[in-house]
Amino acid sequence: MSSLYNEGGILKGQKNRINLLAIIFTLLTFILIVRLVYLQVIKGDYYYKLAENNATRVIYLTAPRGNILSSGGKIFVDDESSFNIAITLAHIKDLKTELVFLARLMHENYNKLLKTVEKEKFLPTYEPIILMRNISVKELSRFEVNKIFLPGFFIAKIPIRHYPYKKIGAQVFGYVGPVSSFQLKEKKYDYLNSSDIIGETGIEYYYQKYLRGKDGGERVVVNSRGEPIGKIIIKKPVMGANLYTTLDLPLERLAYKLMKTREGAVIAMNPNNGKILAMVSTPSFNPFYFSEGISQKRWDKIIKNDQHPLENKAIQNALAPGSTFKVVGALAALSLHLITPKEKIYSGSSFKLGNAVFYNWNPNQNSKVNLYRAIAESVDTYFYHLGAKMRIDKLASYAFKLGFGKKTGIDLPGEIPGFIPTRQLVYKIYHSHWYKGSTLSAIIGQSYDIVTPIQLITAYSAIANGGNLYRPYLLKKIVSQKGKVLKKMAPELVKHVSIKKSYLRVVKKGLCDAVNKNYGTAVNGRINGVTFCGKTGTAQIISKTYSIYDIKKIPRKYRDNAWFVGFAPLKNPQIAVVVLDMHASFMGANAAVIAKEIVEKYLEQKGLWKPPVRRKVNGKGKSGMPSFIYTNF
Amino acid sequence: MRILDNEYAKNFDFVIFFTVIIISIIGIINLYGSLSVNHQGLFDPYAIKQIIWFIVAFLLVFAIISIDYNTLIEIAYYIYGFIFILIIAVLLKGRITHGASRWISLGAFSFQPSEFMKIGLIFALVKYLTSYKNKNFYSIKELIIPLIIILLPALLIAKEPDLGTALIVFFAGIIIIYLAGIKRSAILILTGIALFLGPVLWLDLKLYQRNRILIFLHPAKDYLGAGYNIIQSEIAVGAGRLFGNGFSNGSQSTLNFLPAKHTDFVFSTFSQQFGFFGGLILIALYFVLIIRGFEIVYQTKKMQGFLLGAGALSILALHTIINIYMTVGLLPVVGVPLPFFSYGGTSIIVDMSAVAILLNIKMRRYKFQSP
Repeated sequence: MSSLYNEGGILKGQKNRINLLAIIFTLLTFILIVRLVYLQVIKGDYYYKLAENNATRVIYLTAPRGNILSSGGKIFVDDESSFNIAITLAHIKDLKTELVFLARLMHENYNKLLKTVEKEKFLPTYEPIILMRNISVKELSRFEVNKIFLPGFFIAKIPIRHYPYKKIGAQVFGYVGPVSSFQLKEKKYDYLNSSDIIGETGIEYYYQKYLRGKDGGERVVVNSRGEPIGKIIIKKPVMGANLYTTLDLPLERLAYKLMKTREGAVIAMNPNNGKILAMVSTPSFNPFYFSEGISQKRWDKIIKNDQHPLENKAIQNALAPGSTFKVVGALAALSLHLITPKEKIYSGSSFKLGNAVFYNWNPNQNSKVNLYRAIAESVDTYFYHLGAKMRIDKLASYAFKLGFGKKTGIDLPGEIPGFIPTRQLVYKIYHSHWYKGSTLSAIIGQSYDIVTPIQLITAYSAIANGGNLYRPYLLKKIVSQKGKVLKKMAPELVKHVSIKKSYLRVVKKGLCDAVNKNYGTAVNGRINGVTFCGKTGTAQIISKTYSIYDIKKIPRKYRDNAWFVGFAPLKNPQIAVVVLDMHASFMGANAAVIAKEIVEKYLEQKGLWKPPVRRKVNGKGKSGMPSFIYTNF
Repeated sequence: MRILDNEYAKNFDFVIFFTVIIISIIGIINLYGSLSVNHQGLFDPYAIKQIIWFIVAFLLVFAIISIDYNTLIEIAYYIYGFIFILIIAVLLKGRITHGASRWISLGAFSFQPSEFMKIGLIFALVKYLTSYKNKNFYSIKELIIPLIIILLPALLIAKEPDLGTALIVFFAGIIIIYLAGIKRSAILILTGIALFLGPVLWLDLKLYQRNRILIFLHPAKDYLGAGYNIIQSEIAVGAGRLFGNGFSNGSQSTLNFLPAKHTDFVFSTFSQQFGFFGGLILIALYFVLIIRGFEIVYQTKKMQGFLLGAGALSILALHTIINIYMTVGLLPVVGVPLPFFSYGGTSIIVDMSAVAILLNIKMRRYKFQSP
């Protein structure tokens, strides 16, 4: 037995066997290499294509835009996800048949669908094309049930702007829409993709940079039928920053409710810092329809509406200020020492200047009045007296001091500066010379002068707070999704109005009387327990060729505009409100009621005012003044 | 016992040692590249864990080579018994992962005792076979106990179910017996039994195991189902072409087409990134490692060392061949790791132990003492 042993212990046979194993291993390795040559060298291109076609593709994930919130953090505008039917041409075998099927299934127009596809023909075939946007749940389920007949089609979820309060404040927040090829060429939009959504108007436009999210990317794996079977997110989309406005949600809602059936604008502002508390413009529109490209039908409807729903009348509509402008004349006359506050001037029903006759709004006017009463009762003839003694450029300089004729600088796009006439400006723009009589019209806000509601409220706020002209603003702060404050707005004092404080106090008293004295023109705005001060205004659209007592005969668009602008309380004012009720004729008094309700709501919220207890049984429980009457004052 | 005295140090096999280190480094790079989508910052948590396991494993190598393998063989039954108990423990109360109970959890990390059985078995088998003096050819009768030593754990592991590990245990055991010497009659009888048991074992396989084998024969039949793995793996390998798609550009792995892309299908991942030439270099490294192992075993003058080394070597060779064959579609899918390449602490420890055994044997090749 021992002869079998070789090299101390190990048998020769065993050595042979280990050699055999080594040979087998070498052989196996060789087979492996042959296999690799086959897979990687001979059929490499085939497998490479298979891996490519393992149908992975990158899809951009649209990042949601940041929310727009009230100052208290309530949502005005946010995002929700929409379901969209998308198509990947790479996975379509017979486009026509499938499109016809889809069109029938969804009750859509086949040609319209085909057009949508053809418009995007230049895209790589694996890039999805959105065919139908924001389909309903019903349509979604109909699609899902028939999915097997629609290879190449799939449901894409895309965030879409959501407006819980629909039309409320639509012009302030603005609308978003798919970026246009024109915008894409602009340098400030060089970060955008052709599929992006941008803010077109309002806050959405003004703070686009912050609100937009950063798009992500996703690789989607699809099977041979074009159905996504898995995905990896390469880059997560980052939601845009949340924008807190200065707006007060209940106030904004109330303002819209009051204005809903009218044409005009309402602004509520904190007179001590320029914070906008509410801003509405009516009639309004639902910005939702713009989010994904508005249909031609809807667009035409909005554009053809002669009440211009898209226009933010609070900042984009300059109109004759009417009697609300009298405070400028009063301040000018006081500063120029043309009158003293208590000096009484006879004011009749008309005023003659040369051959021209200027009428008072109230034909029964026939007494001597001082400045307080002239403001409170809005006596035109009193101001004609002042206008006759004043040069137009002087009047204009006081208007400029209060911020008229210039943009207020509110953080919204498209604000217009209005116009305050001076001899030079009128000549330059209208190529006409100034007539003395025009000064008389100008002092009652009825000539060339046009102002925007935001200018009016800014000026009245300056009067209310003792001469500080603040820049009105809508932005409280912008907070990123990680909680970092990106931008914070502080009150900005534009200037201190160089008018004596005592004169401002005189005007304030006059404004106070207008609401709180029984002869005032804004008695409807009276609030029990709070000194609400303000001024009504009625601005003619055309000279009075129509009888002013026959309102119904006047075409609506020629009817007068009603204004009210005021603040409360007299001492330490907390809120200023301007109401523009267009083509309402003699309803400046109604404008005052709207303002009153807003002021009441705000003061009540702040705990500065309590509504009187209403006793239904006893009619006398209510304050003596009915709340909504139509008076001709 | 002195640790690494001069005589031993002189015989330390640097070829094997450095080959293993190079493979390990490539493995970590590959792991990093294949998981690139999961990275949080610069570091990949898997790659970091893998590096830690390698450090632990290398320490273990030095621990093992400092002890004479004969001493280890002496305590072989205890090692075997201990691991056996662990396997039973796992079967009774193991953590369920992927429908299989293979793991034992020890706080933060868990391990598979069945993997260690690969090492435990070769020690036990060598101890048993070398306890006969100058025995060369074994009859079937004499093989009953060694077969029990092999089959008992193998069947239990298959029951877990971990077909891959069971197969490695079985084949490593058979190779040792084969090298020890079997009478021709025994070979015939064993083949007969195997032919008879084949259908029985087939019926005993879990459904997914049976499916895997069936699908291996007709992968295209079930594209998105179980055949998916094989097809996707072949696509990944083939897509690498000559030079590969580049580091961390293996779409098949980064896109999660490959299942177990960092464990069982790690070679597919590597191939797509580095292509035919990358694969060739890697296979060459494994070839150097294993042929060097054969050389060590061949030159060993002691029966214990010879059989033990052959056992350790067969673990490494079987792992390498079965794993790569599986990924290129030459074998059905079974869970076998690629040594020093697949992610996972247990497999690194086992393969490193096998290398340590080979190093140990080489270092003590001239040490001759009667057992």
